[in-house]
Amino acid sequence: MRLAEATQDKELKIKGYVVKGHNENPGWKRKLISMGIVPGATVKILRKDDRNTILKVYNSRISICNCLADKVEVE
Amino acid sequence: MKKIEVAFVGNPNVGKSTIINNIAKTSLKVGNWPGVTVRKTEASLVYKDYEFHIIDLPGTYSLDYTSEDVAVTTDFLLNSPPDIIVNIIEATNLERSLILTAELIELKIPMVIVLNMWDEALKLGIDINIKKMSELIGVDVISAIGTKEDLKDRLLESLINTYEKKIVPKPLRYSDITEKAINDILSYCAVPPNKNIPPRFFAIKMLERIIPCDCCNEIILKLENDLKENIYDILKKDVYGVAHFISSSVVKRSFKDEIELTEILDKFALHPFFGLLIFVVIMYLMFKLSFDVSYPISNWIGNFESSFLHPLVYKLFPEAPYIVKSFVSGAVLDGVGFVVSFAPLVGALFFGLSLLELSGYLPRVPIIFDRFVSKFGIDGRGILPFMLGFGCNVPAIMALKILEDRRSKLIVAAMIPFTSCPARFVVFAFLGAIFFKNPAPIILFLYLLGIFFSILTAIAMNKILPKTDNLPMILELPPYRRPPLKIVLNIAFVELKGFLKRAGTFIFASTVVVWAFLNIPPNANIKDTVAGRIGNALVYVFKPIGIEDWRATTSLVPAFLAREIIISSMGAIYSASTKEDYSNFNIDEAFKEQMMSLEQAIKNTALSFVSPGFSNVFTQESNTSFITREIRKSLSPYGALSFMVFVLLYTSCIATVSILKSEFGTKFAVLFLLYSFVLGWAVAFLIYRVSMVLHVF
Ligand SMILES: Nc1nc2c(ncn2[C@@H]2O[C@H](COP(=O)(O)OP(=O)(O)OP(=O)(O)O)[C@@H](O)[C@H]2O)c(=O)[nH]1
Ligand SMILES: [Mg+2]
Repeated sequence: MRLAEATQDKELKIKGYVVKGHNENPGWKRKLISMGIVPGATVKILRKDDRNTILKVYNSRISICNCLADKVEVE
Repeated sequence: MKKIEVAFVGNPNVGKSTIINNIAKTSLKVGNWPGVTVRKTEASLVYKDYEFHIIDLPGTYSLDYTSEDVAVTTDFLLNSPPDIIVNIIEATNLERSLILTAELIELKIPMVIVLNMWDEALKLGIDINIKKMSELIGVDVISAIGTKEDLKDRLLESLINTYEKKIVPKPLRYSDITEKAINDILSYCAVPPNKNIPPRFFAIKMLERIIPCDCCNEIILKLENDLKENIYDILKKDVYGVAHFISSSVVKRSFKDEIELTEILDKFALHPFFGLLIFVVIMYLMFKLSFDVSYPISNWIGNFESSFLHPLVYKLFPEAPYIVKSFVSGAVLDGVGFVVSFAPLVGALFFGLSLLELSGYLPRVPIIFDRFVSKFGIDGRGILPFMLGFGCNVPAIMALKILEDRRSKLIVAAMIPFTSCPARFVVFAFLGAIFFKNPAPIILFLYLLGIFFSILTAIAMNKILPKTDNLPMILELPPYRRPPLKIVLNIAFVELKGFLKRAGTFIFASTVVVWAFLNIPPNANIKDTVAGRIGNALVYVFKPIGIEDWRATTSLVPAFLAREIIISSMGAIYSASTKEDYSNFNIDEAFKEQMMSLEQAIKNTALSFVSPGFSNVFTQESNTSFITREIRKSLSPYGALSFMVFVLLYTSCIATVSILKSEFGTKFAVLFLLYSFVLGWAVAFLIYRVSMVLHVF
């Protein structure tokens, strides 16, 4: 089963990674993916400012600091 | 007896070490934050006819090589596969945990799955069909609460069954197109031979480009072209598909989308302003707990040794040779005894630290400080090892593994040795109480001074080291958990035992050497002994910073091994250099006096729980034995302050230097040692002069 189908019914999804993020630094994206932040994952934003975003992905709270805002978009 | 090797594998912070502690009665380090275990650690136990060899591995999200601790786990599983993998899964987070499980399944090693944190899952209304999950994956699945006693039998029985029947997970099947690519690689490309791990696992890693493979390029490009996606995304989606499939088939969730307590608490704890306020309050409470509350008892023990036991030796054995009496009273009682008297302080400090670690507050601190520390080239994660430095610099430096790039590691490594560990704390408490009416502000000042110089050092390192790209900081925040009292007490107890053991072995041995140097040549004038000569020579170095007494400088020499030795050698040196007359010592009276002061000490302890400040215990008379009187005579308060500043900044701890050497090389360790010596001396000089000019005392 492909993930895109599996998560259709969930409210919030990560839309994708802005090019800057993963082209410049594949390791970074890999880390996000391995921690469950994949395009299509269920996500809730708990806190967000210019530097610091805390997402709730599945049941885990994951904090991403340092230039997240332009890298992960949530639809 | 059959031997079974079992490796515990799972995401970070799912309770692997807790479960091992539970079943094997070990004391592995646990904490409510990801990345507690950074090294492979072993334990063993015997159950029925089996000897279990248990291996605790650093938590990991995948079998990659993205960071050092992940590599530890991956390397271990591939190079020396265990008989059984115990995959610990957080029941509250099944879907995400199964991503790693999917990778583990490919290893074809017998496996048992433990759904830990069952209690939390129940609270969240998550209901998992264990039987169905076991059928889907093909291995035993056990629900568990990491700390509950009943887990041991259930887990071990299942391990025996799995071992005897060699129960491996059922094979996975990804989407057809991925399966075809995997098979193509298996047929056309050379997969690294490994007799333990099936070729399919390596084929997948080659497809992922984690194992380099020229021959795979064509296959990968075709797949990327067909699906218009990057290969890594394609494969991860397959794995996620598996995880989602299993999880949606077994999880029945009466989903209450309520805001959890953690989210409410985090609104404050992570708030830019309130967060900082909360941090300050928590630090104050820690300081209060470990210092003010435990101090009266510590002080009493020290006094009991020097004012009661010491004279007692002379009184009871007046005929014993002087050398024996001097050994017992000088090296044992006044030496090691002084160090031991700080046991309550150390116990309380670790009690407080483990509360911080187990509650889940610790991983919030990086977020509060991320913005600030980014000014000197590290991200908030650097704060974690830095904070651990207040417990002990050595594991703090080992914890640098959670940082990803070498540059940040070097910067934080240079910060850690300035954090005040308990060894410094006991020296400050010892001297502080002798020289100052209210030492609490002085000790606080020293703590802050240490932090100030770690920051300054970090700024300098940031300027010196070549710049690299700033990586974003990604950190998982565990839910707040009520720290299990049993575990907190156990941690404090284990640390305390370690402290006492050190005092009884390493510190005792060093003190005996100091004592011996005080008696070579025998019966000489104390200033002409080896120790006296060394101390007198050193006075030239330390005179400018206000340490003019040879006894104080001598105590600094053995202290390069560990700072506590300052106290024990001061005890030995000052006791050897002073002859006291004990003919008036009355055992009964002195004992009564001691019991009265014990009562007072207990009262003071109780009092300090309810009073907000630090002062009430310090206005009490501190240790008044002749040794402390002698120490007070030998230094001015300014000299004592400068002495403490030097001890704070100079890395006089062989364990710290050797861990710096093993992690960052000899050059770094030696340079750092020199730097800290020069810095310590210079700052002590400055503070000595300035405080004298300003007449602060
Ligand atoms: N509520 C609850 N808490 C648990 C359970 N098992 C463990 N914990 C807590 O979970 C936290 C993490 O435990 P650890 O044993 O350090 O986790 P770990 O998997 O070894 O973590 P790393 O070494 O960082 O990978 C601790 O605070 C434990 O007290 C459980 O069954 N229920
Ligand atoms: Mg662990």
